[in-house]
Amino acid sequence: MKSIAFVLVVTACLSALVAMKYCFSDRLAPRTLGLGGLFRETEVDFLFIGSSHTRQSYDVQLLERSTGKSAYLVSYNGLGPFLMEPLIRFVAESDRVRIKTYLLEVRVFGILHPPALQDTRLFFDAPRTLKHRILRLAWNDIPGFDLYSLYELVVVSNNDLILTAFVSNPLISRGSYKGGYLKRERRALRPDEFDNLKSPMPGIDSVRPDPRQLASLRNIFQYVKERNLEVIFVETPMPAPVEEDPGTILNKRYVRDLIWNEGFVYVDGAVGFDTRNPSLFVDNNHLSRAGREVFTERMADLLLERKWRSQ
Amino acid sequence: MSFNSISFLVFFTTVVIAYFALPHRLRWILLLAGSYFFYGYCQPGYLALIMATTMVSFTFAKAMRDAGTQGKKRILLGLCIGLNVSVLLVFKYYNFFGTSLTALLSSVHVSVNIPRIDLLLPLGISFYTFRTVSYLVDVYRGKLGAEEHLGVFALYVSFFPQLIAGPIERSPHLIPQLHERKTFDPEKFTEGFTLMLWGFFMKLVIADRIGVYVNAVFNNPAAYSGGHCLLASYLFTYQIFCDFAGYSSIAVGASRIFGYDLVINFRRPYFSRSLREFWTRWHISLSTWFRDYLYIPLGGNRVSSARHVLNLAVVFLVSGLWHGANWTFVAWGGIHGLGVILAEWTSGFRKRAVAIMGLKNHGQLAAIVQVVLTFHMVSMAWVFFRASSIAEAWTIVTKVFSGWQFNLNYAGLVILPFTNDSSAVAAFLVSVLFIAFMQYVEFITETGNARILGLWRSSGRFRGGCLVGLALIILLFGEFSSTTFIYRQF
Repeated sequence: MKSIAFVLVVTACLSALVAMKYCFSDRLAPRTLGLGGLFRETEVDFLFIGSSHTRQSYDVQLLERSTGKSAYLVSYNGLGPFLMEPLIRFVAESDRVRIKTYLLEVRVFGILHPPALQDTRLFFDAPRTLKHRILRLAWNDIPGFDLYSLYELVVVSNNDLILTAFVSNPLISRGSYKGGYLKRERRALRPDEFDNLKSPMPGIDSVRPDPRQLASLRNIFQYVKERNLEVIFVETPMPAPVEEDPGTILNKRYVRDLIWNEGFVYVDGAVGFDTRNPSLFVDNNHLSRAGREVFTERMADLLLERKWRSQ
Repeated sequence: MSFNSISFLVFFTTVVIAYFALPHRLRWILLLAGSYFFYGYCQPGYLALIMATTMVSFTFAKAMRDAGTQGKKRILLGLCIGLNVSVLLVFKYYNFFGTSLTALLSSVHVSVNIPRIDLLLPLGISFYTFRTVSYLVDVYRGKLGAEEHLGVFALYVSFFPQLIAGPIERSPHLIPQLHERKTFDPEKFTEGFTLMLWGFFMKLVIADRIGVYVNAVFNNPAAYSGGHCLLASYLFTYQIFCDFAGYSSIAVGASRIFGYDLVINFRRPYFSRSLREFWTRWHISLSTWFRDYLYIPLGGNRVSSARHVLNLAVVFLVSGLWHGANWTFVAWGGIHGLGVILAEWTSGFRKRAVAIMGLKNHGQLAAIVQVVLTFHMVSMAWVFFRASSIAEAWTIVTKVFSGWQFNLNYAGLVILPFTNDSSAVAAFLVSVLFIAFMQYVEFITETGNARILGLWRSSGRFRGGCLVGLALIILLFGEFSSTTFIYRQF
């Protein structure tokens, strides 16, 4: 009897805690990062949405200084079109913040890669309705998303953030500004490291986007057209060994044409960026602090003068 | 099958229910079949090896009993130990010794080609070989008679809770229990369940959580700074403890649910005041094995001081090598051996120094200093245990003293490998919190805090509340995606 009572008490407590977490975790989200931070703003001129690529590619303070406009950066590691779609819908349909221009990352590897929920902070930051959508999508379309993954996501993930919110949130806030990191600096590549860089997905010799990512990208096109949102698609720069990989070239061209054919603006960050300079990168994916400053200045010029129309 | 898997929970629950449902005379069959299933679930190919080892040892022990003279007994003992140890040597050490010999000879310009044998290491081979050897020696010494029941002896060798990573049970302790008629004992069930829960907490909530950080730094130490290396060293000190003590706790708890008492393998080792004391608290079943079957037969400390030093060195080096076929383990054993030998040599001097400095009346302060010093020596030695080579271990040890910056930005970078994003700070804080909680519980047990321990013993509600809390912590903060136990590989 005692064993059964024990199991029942544990199950009841666990269910209650998980239900509370599911409903209210977004209230414990950091104030300067992710969706939680975005909904503390009322109006944002430039909203960047993307993966860690986006986070590492823009210095929000510098961008705001250079443009005189407000900006915010919503980035979750590995975010591709598949999970970007519900995120855009949620932000656009929310009455908590007004967005003037969306700058959406179209990282080529994000489209080649099958959908995955790499960064569970998206689920943590998401209000309940967005959580429902993410769960439905994950269950139906993320390969390998099973009961165990469901348990990990709903029950286990982000409990550290909840338990330590009163300490970790102020610390996170000190180190970030409007979705971007402050000060945290990884060492830039040395020339020998740069020369040995490989593409994150080597050996691709044809155009082969993941069908679910592609479908989500098309859904994004349709959605922003329906709602008449101002959207710019940006591929942030990658180091030359990755940019010059035949698979990257082929697939980037494919994505660019797809965007152009729909009549949207596409900015190729690599154009005019010194992709051969090791000091501008920290790995085969991300910009260094110096790279971030160069790219942010360039984007600020584009946004101010709306030069993208000529790209 | 690993303890930290759903399949184990299903398996264990089924075996427990079936065990108490069956009559006593059939239970050994259930446990033996269950143990072989448990073993074969991972390595079916090596089931034959463990069965053959069991058969051979069983037969030799009986032959030893029937041998007329001490000389014949000794020959039989030597033969059987030789056979068991040969299997261990071939599977675990052949390539290591071959490679080392080739390297040694090539350094004096002698070229030899020792062929490699690429064999998968049989799970738990070091543990069950040691169990078998201790049985043979105990029969030879007359501590117990040769077991008559092959099934019970096979169960002693392969009883699933202790099969893969110990504790290394002695036959006079376990075999008589395997013959006893057991009835379901709610008190033992609660004790066993508590121990299992505590083991899962140590493994899933602490060891696997901090293992992420440790792996990131130890797999590529060149990419990290002094702060990273120091934190990774401290964290590995807790990872290895929580991983192995967690395993042992689950093993002891699972056995207790059946009604069997296994030996306690850990007694709060990080409260040790010296390396010698550490070895009376860490992996106790192995250290007492080495004491009884190697150190004392070598003469122990009842020999000349030079021979005593040699005995200690041999025991610690062999103990290091027992863990794995790599010089890093030998170095780890060597560091501990050197520490113990130096402590022996300097004990008189240290006692005089304490007296001269007037520290005799500050026992508590001296104890704290000793605990902290011992902890750091042990941590430093663990670096060699964890690193993939001695050169890499040395890189980490030397890096600890370089590249430090004292600002918040650097602190943020140091904890970053926990998750590689902004949640690293939360992961770090939670890790520290749970390590502190675990150490607090150990401290209460160590100091015998009468109020809390009294409450634990007398109040069912308090006990129940603690267990519910512990279960919730495991379910909410456990790392379920990982990983096997570290000592499984030995």
